Amino acid sequence: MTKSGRTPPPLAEKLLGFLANQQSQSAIIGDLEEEFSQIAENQGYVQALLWYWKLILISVPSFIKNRIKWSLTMFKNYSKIALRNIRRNKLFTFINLLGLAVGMACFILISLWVQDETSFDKFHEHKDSLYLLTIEHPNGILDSNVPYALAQVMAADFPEILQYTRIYGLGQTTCSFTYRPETGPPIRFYEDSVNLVDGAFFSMFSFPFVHGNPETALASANSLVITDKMAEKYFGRDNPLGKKLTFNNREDLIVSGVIQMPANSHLQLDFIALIDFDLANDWNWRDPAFIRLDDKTSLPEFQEKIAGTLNEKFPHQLPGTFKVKILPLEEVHLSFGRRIYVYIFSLIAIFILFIACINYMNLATANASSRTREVGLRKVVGAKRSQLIYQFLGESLLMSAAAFVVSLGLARALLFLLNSLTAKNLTLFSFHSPLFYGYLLGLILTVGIFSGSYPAFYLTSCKPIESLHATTKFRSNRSVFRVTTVVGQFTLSVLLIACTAVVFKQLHYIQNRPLGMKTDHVIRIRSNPALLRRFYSFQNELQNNPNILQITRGQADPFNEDYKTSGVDWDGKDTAMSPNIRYSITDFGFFETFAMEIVAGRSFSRKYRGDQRNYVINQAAAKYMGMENPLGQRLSFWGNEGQIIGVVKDFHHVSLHREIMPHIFVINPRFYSNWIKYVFIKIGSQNVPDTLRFIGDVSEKIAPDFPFAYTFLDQGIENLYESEQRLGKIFTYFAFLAIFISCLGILGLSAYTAEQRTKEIGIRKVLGSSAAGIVLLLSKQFSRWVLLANIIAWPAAYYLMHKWLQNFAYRTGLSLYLFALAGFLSFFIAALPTVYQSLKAAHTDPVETLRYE
Amino acid sequence: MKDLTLTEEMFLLAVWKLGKDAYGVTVRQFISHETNRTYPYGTLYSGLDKLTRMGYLRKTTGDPIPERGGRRKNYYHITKQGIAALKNAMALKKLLWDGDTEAALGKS
Repeated sequence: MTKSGRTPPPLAEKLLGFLANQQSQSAIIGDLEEEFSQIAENQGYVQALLWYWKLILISVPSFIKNRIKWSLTMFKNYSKIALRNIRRNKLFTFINLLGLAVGMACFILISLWVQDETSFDKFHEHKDSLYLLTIEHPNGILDSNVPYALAQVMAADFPEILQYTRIYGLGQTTCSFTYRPETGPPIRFYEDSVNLVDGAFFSMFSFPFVHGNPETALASANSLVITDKMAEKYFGRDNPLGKKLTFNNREDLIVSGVIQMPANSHLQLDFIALIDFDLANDWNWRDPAFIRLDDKTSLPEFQEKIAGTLNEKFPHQLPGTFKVKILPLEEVHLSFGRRIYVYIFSLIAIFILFIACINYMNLATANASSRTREVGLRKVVGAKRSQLIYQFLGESLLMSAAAFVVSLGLARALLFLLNSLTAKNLTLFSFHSPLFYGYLLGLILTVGIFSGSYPAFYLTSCKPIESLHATTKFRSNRSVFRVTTVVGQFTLSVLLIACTAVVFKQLHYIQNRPLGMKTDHVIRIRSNPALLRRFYSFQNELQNNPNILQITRGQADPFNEDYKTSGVDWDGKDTAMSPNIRYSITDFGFFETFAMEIVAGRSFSRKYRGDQRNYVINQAAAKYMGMENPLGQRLSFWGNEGQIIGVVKDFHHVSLHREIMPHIFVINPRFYSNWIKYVFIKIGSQNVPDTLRFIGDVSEKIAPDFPFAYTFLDQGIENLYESEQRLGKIFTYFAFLAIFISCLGILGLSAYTAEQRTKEIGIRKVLGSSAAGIVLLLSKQFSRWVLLANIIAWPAAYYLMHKWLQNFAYRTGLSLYLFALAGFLSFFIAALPTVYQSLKAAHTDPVETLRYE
Repeated sequence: MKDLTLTEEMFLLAVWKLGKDAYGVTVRQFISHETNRTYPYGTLYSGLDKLTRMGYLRKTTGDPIPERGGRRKNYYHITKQGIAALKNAMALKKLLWDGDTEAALGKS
């Protein structure tokens, strides 16, 4: 008898249980325990323990050998069966492979994009202590632009701020550079990204230097740092250091450094020079500023300390609380509207992959009847359930690995599409991190295990007797899962179709909404200092050509006028109020060129002397300033007194995302001509090329030192909605993918159903059913599923799109017919494979089908 | 008929000699007692199982007893084929050892 407590060591027993195979395990443990108790009796407990352990340990190698041998044997068997199944069900295999591959390719591409989007600004050495200054407006909108003086004032007040730099963009005025080589003609270009920064710029940001070094690059006021791309554009292969670039034909700058501008930097600056004037009292509110904080700073405390700075320091009373906030550099790129897209696309990628996995599950379980017999037999000859589960998981992993190989090819082929949609230059293996490869491996494993899990557990759950005895019973009662998943798939597809439709409807709406102006046949040319100086002779020369109808100029496109000011005063203005008014600096002929309607008073006219000091406002401004009859009222703009002479009908001066806001039009060229950036010319519809050539010739004559470049204004409007257009396109592709994969699933399922009901169809035909009747019979089930999917998807799509449309101040309605369209499309698409399969089934000879067995 | 390996021969012989009382513990003890060799359990059981699969042994299960923690014994019985295989092995050995081999080996 075993004395109490004198049992063999439990750990060793466990080990033995793990090593020995199931059948003889109990007997072996029994044998050992018997012998153990004998030894314990004769030689003592410790001896027995030692003996037991020794026996177990020396047994390990041979047990392991045995195991490996058997698992190899089983593996051979499993792979043979898997290959046979693949060969037998070529259609299913193809559908599975294609679906998974497309889903994975889509996932890989989106991952690339997301990875790129989240990699912004990580290359800066001080990235963790750099922050963007932002201002939260009273309406909750975060503004990335701050008054110029703010950073400087704050740096003086808060010792936590080690360094600061402002980015003073010269983009709103015309910038041109000229390089005069020793031989050959001068090289000149207009540039958009010319920026002045504070001296700390290069010690805060670590842009890699190709030539020169960060310490001395901005040493003097005429130093200029350019990017390597710009260096090549102006100097070709010559060493750019020390070369002279003339800014606007006026100021000579010496290239003191050449940097690379990484694509994943949210700042994209081509030309960088020093701010060499005092901005301490400049509260203009146009450009961003960055600060570098002491590492020891407690952020929440600092945040609280600075919040009220702007309201306190701003020279006028601000309307409401404008909170100063800081935003970590790494978050800047995603913070202003981009993060939502990262989320949306990640979600879509997961959706599509999910749909593909569901296909696999459905087809694998639909195919169950043929596999349950195999499972039953395996169980009869002694397979454990876990072994069977491993077998099926192994099969799905095999499939997922094969699909992965195909998906790499697909992703490679479709990469250009992604790049053209996102205007990026991504490559498939551009990431040197082993993490990305681990990620891909994880993708294979996740897809394999997820899509294999349900079939594995489902198929292996059958009882051997049932599965060997009858096939039909097992199938029917579990199809709830299949219905759910198919409905889920179609829900997602309908959702995507509906979203695509709404995005396009909104785009259509935007592009066709009357803007309150006409931009056709208006060309826009860059203004330049020479043209500014001799504008009137330019204008006179042009007017000799009858095809030139109107000439005017301005600081921005009329549909994108977003300069705001608080420097406006009028009679009856509340003294505490700091107005927030858009302004345009333009010239005579502005309203005429764009055919804007004057609803009261008159437009600017040369006939009236002193009109240069007068103002035109829009209807919104009249309302804003509380003037019932604004004509003749006193108005001062930046301290220049004048009269309101006209009211222009509200036109869309900013994109349709936003409301029409109060707006003032100013033409005094004596004060403001430096702000003029463009000349707008309305031309006749005849002989357009000749007219353009004529304008080019005149420009060459008047301003020989500046290049002539023009664009048609219509294009500019398109650019305003570029991101929506892109979204529309991306949604189209994704909806297409989702539908494609869902259709593959439907195709497989309907093929399967048709096959299952072969005999039924045969009998029906014998009894006189028509082909149409059979098609109807087989399609009924799918129609029900798709209908259900629509019922679920519509409210979801309505909710999502309602939210999205809130982005627009002017938006199209969510009409029912869009959803009906999505529903109809989903029906049609689901019907195609179903009808095809049922037709095939309906047209087989009943003699053939009934003879089966 | 495949020839037995020495180990298999030993296991078979042990089971035969033990008669009705042949199971894991007795077989192991018998062999280590007679030959002074210890066989790890892995070798022992996989050897016995293999002989069972080859048809030389038959396995029956006994009643659970308390010394064994309430577990059943796997008894092994030699089959007709098993006895034939043993005879065959003996005959083979005799054939090989025939003649003066023993004396010759002793001399060298």
